[in-house]
Amino acid sequence: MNAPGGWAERIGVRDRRTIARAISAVENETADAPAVRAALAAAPGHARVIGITGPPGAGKSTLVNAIIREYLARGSRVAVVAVDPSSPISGGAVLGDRLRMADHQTDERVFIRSLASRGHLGGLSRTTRAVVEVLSSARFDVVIVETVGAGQSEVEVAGVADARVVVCPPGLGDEVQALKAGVLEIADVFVVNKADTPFASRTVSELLGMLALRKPAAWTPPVLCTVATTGEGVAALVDVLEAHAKTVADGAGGIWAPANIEFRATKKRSQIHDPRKGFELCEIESEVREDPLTGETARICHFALPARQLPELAWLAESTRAGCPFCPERVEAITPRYPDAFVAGGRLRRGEAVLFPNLFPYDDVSAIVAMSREHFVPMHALPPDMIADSLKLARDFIRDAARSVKGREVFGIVTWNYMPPSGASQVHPHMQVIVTDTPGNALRRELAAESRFLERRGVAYPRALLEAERSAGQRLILEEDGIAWWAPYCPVGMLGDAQAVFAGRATLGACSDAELEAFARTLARMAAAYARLGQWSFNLTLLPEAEGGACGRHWLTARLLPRFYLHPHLHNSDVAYLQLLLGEKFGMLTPEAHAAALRAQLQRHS
Amino acid sequence: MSAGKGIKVIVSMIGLDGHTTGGEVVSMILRDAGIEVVYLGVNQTPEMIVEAAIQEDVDAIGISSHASNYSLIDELIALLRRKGLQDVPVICGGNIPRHDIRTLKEKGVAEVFTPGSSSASIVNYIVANTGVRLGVA
Repeated sequence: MNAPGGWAERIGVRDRRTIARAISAVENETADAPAVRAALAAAPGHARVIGITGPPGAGKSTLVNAIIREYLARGSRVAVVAVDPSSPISGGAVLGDRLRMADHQTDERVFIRSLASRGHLGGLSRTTRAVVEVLSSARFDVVIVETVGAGQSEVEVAGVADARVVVCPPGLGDEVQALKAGVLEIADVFVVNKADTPFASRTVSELLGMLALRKPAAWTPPVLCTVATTGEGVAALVDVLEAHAKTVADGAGGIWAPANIEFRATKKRSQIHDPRKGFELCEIESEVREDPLTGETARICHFALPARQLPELAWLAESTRAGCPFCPERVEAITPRYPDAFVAGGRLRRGEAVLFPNLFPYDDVSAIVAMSREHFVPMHALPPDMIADSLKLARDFIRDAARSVKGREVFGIVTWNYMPPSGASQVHPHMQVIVTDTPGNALRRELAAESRFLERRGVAYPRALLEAERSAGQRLILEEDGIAWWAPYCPVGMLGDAQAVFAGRATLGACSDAELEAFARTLARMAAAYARLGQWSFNLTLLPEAEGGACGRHWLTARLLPRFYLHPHLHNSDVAYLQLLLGEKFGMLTPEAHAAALRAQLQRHS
Repeated sequence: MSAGKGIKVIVSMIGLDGHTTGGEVVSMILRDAGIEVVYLGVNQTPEMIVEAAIQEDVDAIGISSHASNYSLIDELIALLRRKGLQDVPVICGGNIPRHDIRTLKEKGVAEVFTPGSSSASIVNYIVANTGVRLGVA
């Protein structure tokens, strides 16, 4: 579009068509999207974001209509983002929230935008955060985000809003419903709407009963009654939201206040006479970062990136085919079997995947999953089904095998070392599965640090980290179907790496088939993005909580680490003294630049 | 099934026309064709519809009309032009007599669908006459 004065300026003066088109640009990722995002970054807004969630028919839209009126009366400008579900069949949608907000349709101080969820789970659409940023940048004082009619676990609004209102219609269940995890946990304010109907007072007392069991905190969510159709109780609700804003500003905050994750870094400057610049006196910068959980340091330095060059992969595949123990024609004859008492039939199968014991075991229970019938599967086209079937097979094996392992805590750890630079001795795709009381130093230290974090902050570290990464944004790579990928603040890989969390899942055993399929799809896309960046090998490890554990302190985390020979001819390693002898992470790329490169690859091929 | 992917439209009644069934049926037809429908419901003034069209950045406006409220449709079209939204087609549907169809089209209504119109004809018209947004994944 021709935008005299540019996007930033026209959004800043609240030009309504510009705002609407800026939203379309970020929602549909049109050619204008980068310019819009640049404008938002240049002039971020300071709107207070209020999330409204609750089950279908609770009266959310009608309540939003009443809240708009109250804020207008107090002199605020109000924007609304209302999300309704897309049809899982056609992709179409009927967006009906606006219908309930007709009172403010033509008011200049109000801007309402409907979004379809477009298959995104979690109660919002994938781009809701960006849409909120547009409206905030347009200097609305308040942005209200209304979720789709939420069940119990659509809690994504918690990461978008400064204050979360959970609307509970009367009479939906007994006190057990109120105890359950999920949407009730994220509330800063409970609203029992339709308070003029029977059962309302019982719903109030059940919510209060649930809250009484919680640990005291700086902000205890109040339970309010409203009748949204008449506006009754809405002024009190807005009073409470204002009080909450002050409490949060004072640094206390509710249980969901962003948990002050600190991303600390120190710049290092080396003064040298640089021969590349005629021995001029120069400063060369590098950086030491601190892991926000463990405080361990990582270096980002030595920006001497070698040109990437792929080896002859077809030759590598052919020359290793004849002796491959995992190819279907040999796997039965060459690989070992478990005793029948441990695994009936000695081996397990699912789809193309076959699980059997490692002839060179790492522990009491040490298995291999040959993932495919195909000997060589290129990294830019890893089939999601192959990954998902292998993970499901590993999951089911771990569940049974864990019973046989002695130890206070037993961990089922799955690793995929793909192609030789990763340390794999076989080209044929295969995973390592160990079930052990010895999860490794890194995971042991991480879990201990997460326990301390939980004790001090009252929230699981991965949940707080995910929220912090979402609000920082620059390291986020991909978020889809409950799986979020980002570039860790402290890089492990010399040329960058990525991590993903399974939100609210402690172990592989806690993951449903659908969740593993969703993860497999995102992993395949991530691997393809890395392949397009010139990578051809990786380590992938899934770091779990102990078997049977809950997701209180730790969420199942995937670390994806591209591996390579630093110089294609020298075959020098991407692991050096820093990592092995000094025990320090080391990257030659900032995770922010790395995430941007991956995002660009994903976008180009989405 | 998703011919309409990437298209966003308004479906609304206008003025005091309280007949909602037609608009709701059409909304579902469009939804099932992959179109995102912002359903405004009844008692909408031309100003309200135009404001919604601006804020929602829609590709077309569908007006369900069963009460001969054509002067408000004229006003809607005039207002769209004044606000620079002349490129957003207005499509009418309902029990509209044949001679009124000609008048509506002369006034700037893009197309009129009368009772008996097939779902496919409505969807096809919208798909053919709106610029499908680019970049929808």
